[in-house]
Amino acid sequence: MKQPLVILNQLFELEQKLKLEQLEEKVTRNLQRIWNAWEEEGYLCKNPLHENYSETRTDVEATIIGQEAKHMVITQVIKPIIFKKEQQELTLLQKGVVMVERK
Amino acid sequence: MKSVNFGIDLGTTNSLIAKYDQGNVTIYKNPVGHKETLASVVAFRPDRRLVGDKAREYLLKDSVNVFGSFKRKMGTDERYYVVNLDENVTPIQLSSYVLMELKNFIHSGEVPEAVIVTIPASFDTMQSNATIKAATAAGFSEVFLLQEPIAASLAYFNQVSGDSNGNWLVYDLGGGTFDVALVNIQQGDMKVLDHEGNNFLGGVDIDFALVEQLLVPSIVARTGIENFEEQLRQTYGPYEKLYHQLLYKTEEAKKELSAHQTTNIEFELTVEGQRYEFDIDITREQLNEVIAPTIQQTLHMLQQIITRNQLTPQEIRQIILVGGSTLIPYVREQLQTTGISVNADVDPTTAVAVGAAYYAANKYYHPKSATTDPSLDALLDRIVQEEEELTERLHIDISYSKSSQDEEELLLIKTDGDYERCTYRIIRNDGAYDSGVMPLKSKSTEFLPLMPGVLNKFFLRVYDEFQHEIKTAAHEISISHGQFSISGQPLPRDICIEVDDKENKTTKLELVFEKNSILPQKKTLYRTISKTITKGADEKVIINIVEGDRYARPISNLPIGCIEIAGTKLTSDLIKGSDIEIQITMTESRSLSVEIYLVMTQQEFKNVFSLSEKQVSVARLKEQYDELERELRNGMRSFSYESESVWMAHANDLLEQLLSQKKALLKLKENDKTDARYIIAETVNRISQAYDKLGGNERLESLQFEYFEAKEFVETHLSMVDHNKERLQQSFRQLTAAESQLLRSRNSSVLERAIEQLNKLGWEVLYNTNSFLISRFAMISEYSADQFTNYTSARSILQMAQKSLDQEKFVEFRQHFYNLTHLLKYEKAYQENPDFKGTGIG
Repeated sequence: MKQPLVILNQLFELEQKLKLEQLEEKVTRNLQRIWNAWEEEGYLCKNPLHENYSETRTDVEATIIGQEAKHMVITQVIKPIIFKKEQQELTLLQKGVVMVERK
Repeated sequence: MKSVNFGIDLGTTNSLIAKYDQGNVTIYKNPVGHKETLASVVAFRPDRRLVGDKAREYLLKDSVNVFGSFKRKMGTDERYYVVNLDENVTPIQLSSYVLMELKNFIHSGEVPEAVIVTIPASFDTMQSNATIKAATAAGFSEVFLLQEPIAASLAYFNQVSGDSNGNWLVYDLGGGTFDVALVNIQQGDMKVLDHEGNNFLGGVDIDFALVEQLLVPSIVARTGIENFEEQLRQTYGPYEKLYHQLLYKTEEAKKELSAHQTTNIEFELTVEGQRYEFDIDITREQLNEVIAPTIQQTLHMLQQIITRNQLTPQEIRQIILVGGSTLIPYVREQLQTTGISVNADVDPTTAVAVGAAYYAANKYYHPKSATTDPSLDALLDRIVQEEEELTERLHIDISYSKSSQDEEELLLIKTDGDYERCTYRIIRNDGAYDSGVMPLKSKSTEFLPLMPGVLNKFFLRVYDEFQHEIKTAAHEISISHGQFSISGQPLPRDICIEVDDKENKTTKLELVFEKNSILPQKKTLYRTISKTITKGADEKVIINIVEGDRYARPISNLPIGCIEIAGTKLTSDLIKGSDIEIQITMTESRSLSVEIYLVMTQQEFKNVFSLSEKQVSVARLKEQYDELERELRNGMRSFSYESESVWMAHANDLLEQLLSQKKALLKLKENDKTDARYIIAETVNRISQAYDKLGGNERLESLQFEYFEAKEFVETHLSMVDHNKERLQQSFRQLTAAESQLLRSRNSSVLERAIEQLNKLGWEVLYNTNSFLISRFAMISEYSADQFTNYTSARSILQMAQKSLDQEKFVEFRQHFYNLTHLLKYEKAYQENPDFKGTGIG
């Protein structure tokens, strides 16, 4: 169980670095292929960046930056959310680790 | 009398619940997030109460409504004013909320009446009584306390056998607190003789120290920011986000250094528009230097206990480790310098809860329900009656849309009757949503977040004032995302792609979009090229998309899109085994678009098909024609063998219809502009479908019977096989894996193909079984010379085989036997297409 999570987290990090360096376009196809292969194995990786955040979201471990407010948004993702699909049912395998800020 | 069995570690930072059952202890996991530990933090948000990790997120930012570390205040008259409630709460109330939340971890649905709760060795009578009050408020009618060092010792002693008499030290270094206790055991009687501790020393302090001592100097050296450290720790300061990021990364690095000698921390920082990238290496040695002062403090307290009790290290049996921070190798190394052996046999994070559960196994109480009528039936009747009474007093109606295409869906809850002090909570099945505990009102609404493209299941649970679940009020909520919506149209039939089945020298269908999927749909397939296509050659890759039944043969389906990539279109040779990516998109209005990317030549091909025009590949049509002709002829042979004259006549009729198209087909060229290809394709398609239906249910039943017979034959003989057993068993498993789908397909040709494959495997099994080979060899030995293609060679092999058999060299014998069979005059019953070209997609 641990090794797939290690690989998926590394892959996510790799993708983020390539985006930052604006190199992602050159390897989009390859990355998409890898994500696709993982999805076929039942692993779904979700990047919750820019999604709304509320206290009912138990798919992420959040650190609130600045003042807490009613409407908050995810502004940084350190680790993605990972689900495992088995017999058409999803289970949360890894909570995302995120930073949230007021909108 | 009943055994308590449940134990709770009610910790300052984290809590756990465990149960003893028939010699084993189970640590229950949080149904939300599946962690064993629950953060001992309670948050009173504007409309709901949260307990655990989610509450901890708000600890620093909403300190007037969120509370942690209240265990330290147990037994005092401290009150916490909650702004959102406009009332005071006590440490006892807060602890009771944590205990109630732990009860929700028990997935079996059992509601414990009695429990063991652990307390620090330092707790006085007031603090102990406060803990009992908290557990009572959480709905436990019998509460027993157990000191944490004793619980940890029990966890260890229940794993080992032998003499345990003597003095033991329990060293507990957790996330935020440190405790060390001297435990004396005499004939099974355990006593805490002395203890020391610091409520503000633990793993979190180590993380702070790591950031300050290892990362801050590097950041300052490169960026030159003045007062950086001060600004970093400042609440709402400019580097607040970075600070939390660094804390998280140092915690990860700390764990990494428990297993490896070095690790690194990567992060970036933008100062006045300039971006700095950091990749800082950290060694275990550096970590040790940073944590040394903290660990020395703990060792000092440990030494104080030894000295105060006038003991020598030799008089202490072992140091038992408790708390997550004791996993750091340096902690263990330093403890070894005391001269006392260190025991790390128990899981330090769960030891206290496990010990409490062991203690609970031997602690008994009088169940309240048993005092009136001890029979189980009477007890169950009473519970049911109580629930029914409650249900009569409380009625809940829920309303929601069962399908949605939105990101969230509104749930309406309407309550009638006596709902005062009752609460409810909604949890999503996958653990990604938890509403928290909310007071039940006459009308409530909640937005439920939905995962796209799946069935989202939620559970609504209702609790009475003691947090006991009212089971009859529970509801399961199922919302399909993206389905049965009026804006989407379901596909009436499967959409498939034709790919090669090299083993059987034919093609097969692979599902792209399943029948009833809601349009629009998009899918990317990754496959390999199954034959080399030379640049400039006429050979081609054929991407044939069809609509129909995925189990039927390709020709029985309607071709809706076809792209042919000939060698003439290639910029370089396309080698067998290279990758092909096929992206298939179907819009709501059913227009099909296919994009192909050949990885090797880096070429893209794109085509959009309107489904009013058929797409037919002449090359594939010719092959499909041949296949159907062959199948019809084989079918007629088998009908004749089975004396099925009516089926035979019908098949013959179909064959004649098919043959009537042969001339036109042979004349057909790839660049033919007439409608000939469509007319022939239509006829072939119609005949293929008619042949599938030939014989109706009777033929299907007969084929199903034949299938099971073939399967049983292979299964029986597999147990006796002598060679390649594993490979053959695997082939059998593969062939029968899709059995239920196969039988459901009700398609004669699919069944015929499956039977054929099983029969082939059956022969392979026999040819790997010594007893069969020997009897077959005996028969072949009797053959006359004219039954061999080369009798001289055959005679020599016969002799060698006999020799191997006499010497019981069966592997060798089998090889000779195989060689011999190649010299037999043998007519193949089923002639496969020797020039099979296929689609070129494997």
